[in-house]
Amino acid sequence: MTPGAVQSKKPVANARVRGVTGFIAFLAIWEILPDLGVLPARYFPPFHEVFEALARISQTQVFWHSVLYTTQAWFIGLALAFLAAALVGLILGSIPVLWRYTESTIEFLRPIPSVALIPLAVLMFGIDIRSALLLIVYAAFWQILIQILYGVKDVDPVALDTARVYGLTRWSRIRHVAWPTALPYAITGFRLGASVALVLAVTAELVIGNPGIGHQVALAQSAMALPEMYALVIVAGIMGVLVNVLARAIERRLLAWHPSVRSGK
Amino acid sequence: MYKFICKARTIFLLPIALFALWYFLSADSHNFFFPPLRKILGAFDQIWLTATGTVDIVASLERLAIGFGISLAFALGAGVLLGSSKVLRDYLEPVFEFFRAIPPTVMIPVLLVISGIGDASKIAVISFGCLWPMLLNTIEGVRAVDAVLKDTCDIYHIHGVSRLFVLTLPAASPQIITGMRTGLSIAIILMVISEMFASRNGIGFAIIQFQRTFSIPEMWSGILLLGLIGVLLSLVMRLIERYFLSWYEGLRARS
Amino acid sequence: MKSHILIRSLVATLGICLSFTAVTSQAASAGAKLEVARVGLLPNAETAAIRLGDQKGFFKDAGIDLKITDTSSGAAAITALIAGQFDIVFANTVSVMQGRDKGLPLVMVDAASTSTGVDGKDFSALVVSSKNTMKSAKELSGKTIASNTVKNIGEVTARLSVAKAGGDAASVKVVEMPFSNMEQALESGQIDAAWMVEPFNTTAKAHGLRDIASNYVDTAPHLTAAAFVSTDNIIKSKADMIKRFRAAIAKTAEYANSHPKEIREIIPTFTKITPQIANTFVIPRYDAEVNVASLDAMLPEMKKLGMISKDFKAESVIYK
Repeated sequence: MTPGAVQSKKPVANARVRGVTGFIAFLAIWEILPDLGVLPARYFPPFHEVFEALARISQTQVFWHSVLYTTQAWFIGLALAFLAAALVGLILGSIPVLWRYTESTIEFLRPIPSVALIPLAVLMFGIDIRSALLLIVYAAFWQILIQILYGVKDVDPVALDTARVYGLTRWSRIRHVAWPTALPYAITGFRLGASVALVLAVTAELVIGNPGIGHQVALAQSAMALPEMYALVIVAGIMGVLVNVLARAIERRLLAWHPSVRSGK
Repeated sequence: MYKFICKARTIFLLPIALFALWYFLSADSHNFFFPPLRKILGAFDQIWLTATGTVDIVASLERLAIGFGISLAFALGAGVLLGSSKVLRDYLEPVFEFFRAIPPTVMIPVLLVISGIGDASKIAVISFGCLWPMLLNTIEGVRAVDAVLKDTCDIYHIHGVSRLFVLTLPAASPQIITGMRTGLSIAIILMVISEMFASRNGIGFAIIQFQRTFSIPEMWSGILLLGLIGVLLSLVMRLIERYFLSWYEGLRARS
Repeated sequence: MKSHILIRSLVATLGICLSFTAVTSQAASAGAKLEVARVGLLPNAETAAIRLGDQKGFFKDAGIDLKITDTSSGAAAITALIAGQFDIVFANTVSVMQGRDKGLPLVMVDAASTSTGVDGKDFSALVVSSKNTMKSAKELSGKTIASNTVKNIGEVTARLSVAKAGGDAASVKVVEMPFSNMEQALESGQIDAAWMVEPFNTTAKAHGLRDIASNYVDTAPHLTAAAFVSTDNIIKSKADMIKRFRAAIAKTAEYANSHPKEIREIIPTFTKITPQIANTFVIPRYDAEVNVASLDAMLPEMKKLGMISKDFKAESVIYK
């Protein structure tokens, strides 16, 4: 290629075509193997059966209600976790004394698997969205908090000192210096927290039984309605993809001004 | 010495204070679902520090180790392969990203149907769940190896296996280890949840049994145990990170 | 200042979501002059009667607005009951007795499902694979039986079946697996026998498997398998509603036992059971009276398994 030549659009288009081909190949394998008997069709229905099941259930009210319930739990849990983590993160980040003493506690509480709280959630709230919220908020909170703390630590001390010299109050310093620096990290935390929140929402429904996609999967499995079960798993995957896409879109929008994004990745 | 005491104080003060607070606030508790911490600690001693309790703990950790190990091996192998080939990446990454997006716990009913009850399906669940972050991170790490370093290796005719160990893996290790950290926390979650269905031993199994039979202090002791295991495993992860990435952290600190 | 917009819109949407859920739940509970009874039911054939009774208006006639929520298991339902989420729940009698034993203030208000008492034609059975040649439960000594959860009514009654047939109940190994996996596990030889309830045992029989024991029948004549449970507190504070509930259940029980066709018709509407299966499987007896003697019959085995304390008496959970 000659120096200075314009990068053609072909590489990207090629990649897309290959990606789609890969997907189709995967679906083809899914269709063929059970038919050939390589995979027992009784427990592994060929793709077209799953697709039919998907078409069928997407016409039922129960299905869309389930999607709504899961989305609701995901959204509320994520929002609560984000607000709490932003608050705690900013406070801890701007008062060094507090941070020194709480760091070990955070490092101790963080790795506690949120699913350990499942029996507790059931005891406290029963089969209710609040059980799911307990798990979702707990798990997403730590993800987001860690990221925000990274962000606050990254604040340029010179900028902070300058702000102090100019007489800005602690709150103003947080608002105008710490927060913008921490924002990219907060958004990354939001993205990570968003997928964790979805996993916990579905898990809570699966294990505890509150209404949602996870619960529908459990019902399908216990009735041995395998095509439905696989269809619902695909739906869960699609939801996961959508959450990711959404989070990345928000990330790009909000951080358009940030040098790390503008340097053009 | 004084410095040590000061450091110890900042680390332990709040956790110990919170623990003591829990102990004393709950001492007179008559609430069925929130028994006194004293009782929980008693149950902890009775259940987990005995032979039967140890069987459960070992069974859980064994499945975790095997599942995580299988996925790590596969992630490294396939990750290096895919990271070095744009064509393969283009074909496979979208499918992999889709699998990664599936909340791993919904695979439990699926694997229950496919591989039945017993350790195989639990290990399969753990493997499936923690594979994707590790695989995709490894691919990313291998892909992004510095071009200058790659050219240097070419000039010095470093190819094949030695190239793998001299350049590719070390250069990708920050990404690989990030993937391992995510994979580990997913693996722990799946270890616990997979034991809540169709199981006959394990920590998750025991906790659910306690919950079903309303043995509440015992259930709480299980929750505490899981917390401890989570902390211990994350410490282990930290040590691994420090061992493999000391050069990286130094590099970042400088820049 | 885009971050401010993000936060404000997040908070606003959160507020809208929360108020929406609050409004909808309020609207749902505004049930006019009828007293609301929040009931937790498993989506299985054993709860068909109460749902039929509700459909027929027996509860409305008794001044009760039945608000039914699906639960996932007896233990979960009891937990939700204690947490204040329900007034009455459907739970198996073994879980209820265990709960009472551990100090939970549970009371069986009415029986929910009872064994038909007919050996070979009950809604619970021990099933073996089509290739198995075992003739009686006695041969299950030392073998592996599957139950949907360990140490539950299935395990207790299965062991009692083995003992009744002359086998060694203590040597039986019980493993846990979902009902839907049991057929496959039986046919592949993973387990020797499985405790199944309808519709699973009829489905299995249609596939060539057979049952070798009716474990509920072996345990006691007309075993009360599940009950409608409430707490001491609720019985005191809502005494009148409970009385009317019992009256409605009594009517429902009579109707359900004499109109099995309508029971079979309602089952596919709230479960994933198909009408073909619903027309062929065995439905339980829907008696209203709890058979205390049958509960006592399970206690010795429960005590042996360490499930309940030695001095527990079944009548401590009965409504008085």
